[in-house]
Amino acid sequence: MENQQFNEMFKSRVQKALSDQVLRGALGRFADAYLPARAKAYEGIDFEELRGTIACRKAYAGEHLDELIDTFTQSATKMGAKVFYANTGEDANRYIAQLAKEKGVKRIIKSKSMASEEIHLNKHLLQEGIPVVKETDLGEWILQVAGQTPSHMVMPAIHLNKEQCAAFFTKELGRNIDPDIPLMVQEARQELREHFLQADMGISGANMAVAETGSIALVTNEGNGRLVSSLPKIHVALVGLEKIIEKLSDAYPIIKALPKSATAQIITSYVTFVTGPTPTEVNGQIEDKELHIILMDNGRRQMLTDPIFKDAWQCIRCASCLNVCPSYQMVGGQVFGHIYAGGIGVILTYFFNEMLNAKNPQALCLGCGRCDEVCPGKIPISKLILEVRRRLAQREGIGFLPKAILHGVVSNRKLMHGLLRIGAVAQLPVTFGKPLIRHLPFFFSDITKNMSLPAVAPTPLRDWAKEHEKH
Amino acid sequence: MNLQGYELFQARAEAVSAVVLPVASLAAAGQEVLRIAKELNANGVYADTQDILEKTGFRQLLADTQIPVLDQLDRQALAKTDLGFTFAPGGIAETGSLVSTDSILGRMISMLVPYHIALVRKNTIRETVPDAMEAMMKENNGLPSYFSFITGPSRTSDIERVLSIGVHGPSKLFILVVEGDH
Repeated sequence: MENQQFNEMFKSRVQKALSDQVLRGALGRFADAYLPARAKAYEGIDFEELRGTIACRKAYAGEHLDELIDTFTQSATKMGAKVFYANTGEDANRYIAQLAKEKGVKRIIKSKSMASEEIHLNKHLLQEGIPVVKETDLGEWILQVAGQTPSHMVMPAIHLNKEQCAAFFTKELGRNIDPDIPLMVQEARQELREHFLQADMGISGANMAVAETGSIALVTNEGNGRLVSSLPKIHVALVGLEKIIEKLSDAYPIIKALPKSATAQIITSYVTFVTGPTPTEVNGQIEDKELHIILMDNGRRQMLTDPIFKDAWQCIRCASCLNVCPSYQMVGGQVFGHIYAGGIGVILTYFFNEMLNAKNPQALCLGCGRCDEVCPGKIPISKLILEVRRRLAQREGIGFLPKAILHGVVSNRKLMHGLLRIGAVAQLPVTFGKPLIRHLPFFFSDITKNMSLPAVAPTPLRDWAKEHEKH
Repeated sequence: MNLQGYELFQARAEAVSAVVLPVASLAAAGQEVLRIAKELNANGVYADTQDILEKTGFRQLLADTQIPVLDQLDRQALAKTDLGFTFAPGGIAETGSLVSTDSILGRMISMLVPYHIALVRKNTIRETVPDAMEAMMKENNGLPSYFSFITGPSRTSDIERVLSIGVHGPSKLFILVVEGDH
């Protein structure tokens, strides 16, 4: 059964992640460090007030999307940018490939863009024979060399240790690189420098797009975002529709929250606003650049017009829902995710990629609600994941046996209680009268391999409570 | 910690590894540039062409050394030069940031050289991000086409979440804070 195979494959990926000591170590250390660091960054700031503002302003932008798209397009075009509206990821890919071919682009440098991963841009450009697309974000560059997908939206290579990184560096640079982190960073800087200097096209994402001014904003740390948006003659910015905000003042609360929630920084090293194409240096002369801004739908409108999922529009892509998620902490984003990882990842995947891509990740959600508490967009993420679960179950079914048990037994009170009373007696051979079942026999033994199950109580709590209520 | 104004700026900037150097005047700033260039044994100083930087007298001071001063628009030359000198028209106390509204030369300097000296007047340091934006837009008569808030040197934690200073942008940021009006 195909469904069965799907599940088995996923289970084995979960098991593999659980036994990956390097991954578990990295994620565990991160989970321990994140909350205290985040608290320190938010010291003196009313988080509830801040996220109330962000939620409100982002929701406003969603409600007025068409109007703001028009305003942004007008403002940006007036400043000399070319604005292209891409309905789908394929449209965006095609535009970029065509542009590169038209302009005879020989070398492309890219700074971090989750939207570009979502639409498999690099793969498309490769297929179109566009030479050399270099990721310049250190984590993304390492993954490009490793041929892996990101495991976190903000720190994509967090699942790799320095020894693994050094091996990838050695492979890419063709000489031995020691697992020394400062050394590796310097090697990356040197290696990518020529690409920065020679590239004729830079592709970036954007953290915000301000309709009133036609500006795009980049919130970065490494300096590659600034280089990508300054040096090459052509700058292409791939911008999901949800990045559009009405005015400049709407950017302030996002600038305040994004670094603190994402990496527990007060602010990132660089916050850059680009309004229209700015000149660059070509062979010692100042020359005009081209700025192409691609506003991309690719499933976003569908999410926005859904009465339940429209709240997800408020996401500022900080990844704090991943950072506090107990399931994410155990298996990381390559298992608990499909391009977009973690709690919000389930929802974005459901709309931007294939619905079924969300099926496995959503299964890992415990519904603990920690993500809801830290989300600077005030998105009820756990509730939305439950809705994804419900819709998928409705579409795909949940399997004959689970359905039979849930509908036939669990929802039939008398039958359920009757069976439990029988179980309380019949369980004796495995409980030995103790409250915990440590070992189940035969083909059930796998269940109790790593955990003990509670035994069925001799007296149900509701009976016990009724008894004692009288006193 | 209930700091504000310059003290907050200094605390926040130093917390992200910027080197904050208060100086009494533009002339004193020029001396600092000379000192830093000599200490680093810099192979050159790339300076943006700004009046206020010229007023520090740094060119004349460096003329007495073997350290060349460059300002031509040449990305290859920039990529080979150790030290850069630019002007920041404002600062932000709450984040320890500098406002950068440079033209292409200034930007390339602040992006490509490993050691970056930025000069800022103490009285242009505003309290918050919105304050600084407002001041910047007033001064520029609107939004500059490319501006950044620069906070400390470039950094990453992409490998094992270990903080590494100095990635593609500068590895060290010196902030010369000029008191007074000259």
